[in-house]
Amino acid sequence: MSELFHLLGHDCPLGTYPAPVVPVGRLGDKLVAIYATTSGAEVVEVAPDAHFTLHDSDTEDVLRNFSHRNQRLFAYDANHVVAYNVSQEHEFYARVLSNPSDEIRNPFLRLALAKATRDAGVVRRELTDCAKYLAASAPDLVPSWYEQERASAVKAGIEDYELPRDAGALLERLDFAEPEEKGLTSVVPNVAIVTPTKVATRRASSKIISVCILSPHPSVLGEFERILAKASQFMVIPKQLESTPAPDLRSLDPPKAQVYVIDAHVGRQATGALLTNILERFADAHLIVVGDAVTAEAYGYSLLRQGVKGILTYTEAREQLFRALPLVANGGFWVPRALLSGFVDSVLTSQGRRLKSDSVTSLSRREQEVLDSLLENLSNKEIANKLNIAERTVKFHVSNLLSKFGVRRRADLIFLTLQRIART
Amino acid sequence: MPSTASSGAAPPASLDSTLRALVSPANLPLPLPIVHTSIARWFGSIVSQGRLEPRQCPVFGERLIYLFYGGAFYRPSEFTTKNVDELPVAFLFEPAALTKIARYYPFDTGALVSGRLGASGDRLRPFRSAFQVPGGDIQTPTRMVHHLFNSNENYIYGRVDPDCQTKPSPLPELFELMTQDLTSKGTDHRQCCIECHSVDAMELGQHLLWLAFPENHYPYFVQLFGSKRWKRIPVCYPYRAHAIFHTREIAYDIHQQALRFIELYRKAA
Repeated sequence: MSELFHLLGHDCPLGTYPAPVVPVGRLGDKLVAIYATTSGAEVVEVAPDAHFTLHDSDTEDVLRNFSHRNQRLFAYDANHVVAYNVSQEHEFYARVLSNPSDEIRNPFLRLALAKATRDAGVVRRELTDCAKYLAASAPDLVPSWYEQERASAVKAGIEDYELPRDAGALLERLDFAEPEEKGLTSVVPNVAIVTPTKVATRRASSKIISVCILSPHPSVLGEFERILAKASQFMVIPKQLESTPAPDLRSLDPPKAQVYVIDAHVGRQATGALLTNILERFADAHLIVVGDAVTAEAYGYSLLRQGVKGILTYTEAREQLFRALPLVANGGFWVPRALLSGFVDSVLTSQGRRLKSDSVTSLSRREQEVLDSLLENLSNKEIANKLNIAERTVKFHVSNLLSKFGVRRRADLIFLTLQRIART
Repeated sequence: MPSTASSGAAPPASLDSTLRALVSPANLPLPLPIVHTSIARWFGSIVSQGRLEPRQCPVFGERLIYLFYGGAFYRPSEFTTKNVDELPVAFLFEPAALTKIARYYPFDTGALVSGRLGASGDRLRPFRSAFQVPGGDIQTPTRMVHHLFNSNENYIYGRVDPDCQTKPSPLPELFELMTQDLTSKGTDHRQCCIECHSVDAMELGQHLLWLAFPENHYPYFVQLFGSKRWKRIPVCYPYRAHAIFHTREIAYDIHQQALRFIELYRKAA
């Protein structure tokens, strides 16, 4: 009878917050702890002098209606404790993971909560963050860790086909920022892993993103809609294109959206015309092209020269589109690593390594020098030595450049500049 | 012959001398891994030290590391003094670590002291010298397994050899202890276990084969084994921790996972 239970506080056996915690209170004249079990809750009497965290009056007030039979507790800190219904655990953890004000920074706790949501998209996202963390701190552990986690996710109800086949497939995408810029710091003992850079990315990615999908095939439109419907952050606008052999896409009137996902099945020329059309109408549009041949060198380079920011095969799109979208919407790129490096080489070769980014006029002389040095792939320390300034000053200029170019990662800054050079 | 201890007529004979007197076959059971269980709250400090350190034991009055032979026999505390309850972490070492063991007992001494081994357990007191089997020899626990359980498989699944009833004291007394119904005492698979004491620290980089911990503690595992300080990376079992499940449920799960690992290890051996 839940009305007899009086919640007094909680215990945090995991040792650090945020964490799920054990409710402690009085049931009749006994001090009891309430544990989760696979079949519900178990009331366990504890010693009268057992130590636990007593809730302050505000927390007590918030949790006044706590039901020990139907609810569990999750604590952000000793005095920020929330209750959730066991029957709505999936939704609760999905909310916790997407709420920027409740930032949980331990990627492995995030993954644990993600598995509890049983949402393949959420699990994949958190698996990727954990894999990035491991790749930066202990790359040898990645393969066995992923194999184990994949099996565990499948056991938790995530279907096998919805997860990348191995850790390499999980990590194969563009991500060559330095560890400090990826927001990864050393991990223990406080298990605080992600710096504000990462937090900012997560916050940005939790906004609603409008996505226009353009394809001549109703089945492709339907499939992408279904994939994106799993995450609530996308507002999907499907637009069916003409399915004639040479559709007139130059005069098409596409709806306004932040990101356009274009099915390249319409053919190379028609795709090019559609890209030009969209960029002429909406200069700040972000473009992703999906197709079987798009990752081929020549076609891929031409798409990148046109300003495309994301390139995926159909298979990749099924697994990665929902992750590529927030990144591309925020000015980033989602391009296969091999295609990217080939493109960078081709730009460097064609420019004879004279890499002046003339297209951006609002840069100070120093910023321009720092940018040119970045294009030469120099580290902050090397740039500092070259320009005879402090490394801290270089970081300041890099930060300004990221802001002026509207990107969050050093890699995106370099790539965006190269793309602009290639287009001019 | 039923035990004399059950009639209370005479104190049991020394287990060590009895085992020495019994003939052991040349093909004793293979040595099994040993497991230390601790709590998640201490996992961080264990990781930062890189080894298990002996802790002062109030029962034996010395600094000891408690381990169990062939299984993760974690016993959730009945009453705690500092915290409501704890989540277990388990460290499973290869049999080569048996050389570190100073002595063995054929039961969970903590359970016996706290009265969890019932009337048969109470009759074994004082137990410290009578049931102590000195370590130092990797074959010692295998001889204990042979004479008490006949095989590793029987030991792992808690099946005492009925022939113990006709063997010299104190084997009949131990048979009685291990076969009595203790469900009312909350004692389950821990009823049949061999306890091991080490007085020396145990390096995690040396003989560790497997470990279990709450899944959000993975960064500690990375700290331990991501640095390439040690050549061999143990298998890990990060158990689910999105909600706080009862320690007893987790302990049982860890024990089953450890047994599964030991089973694979035995097959490979």
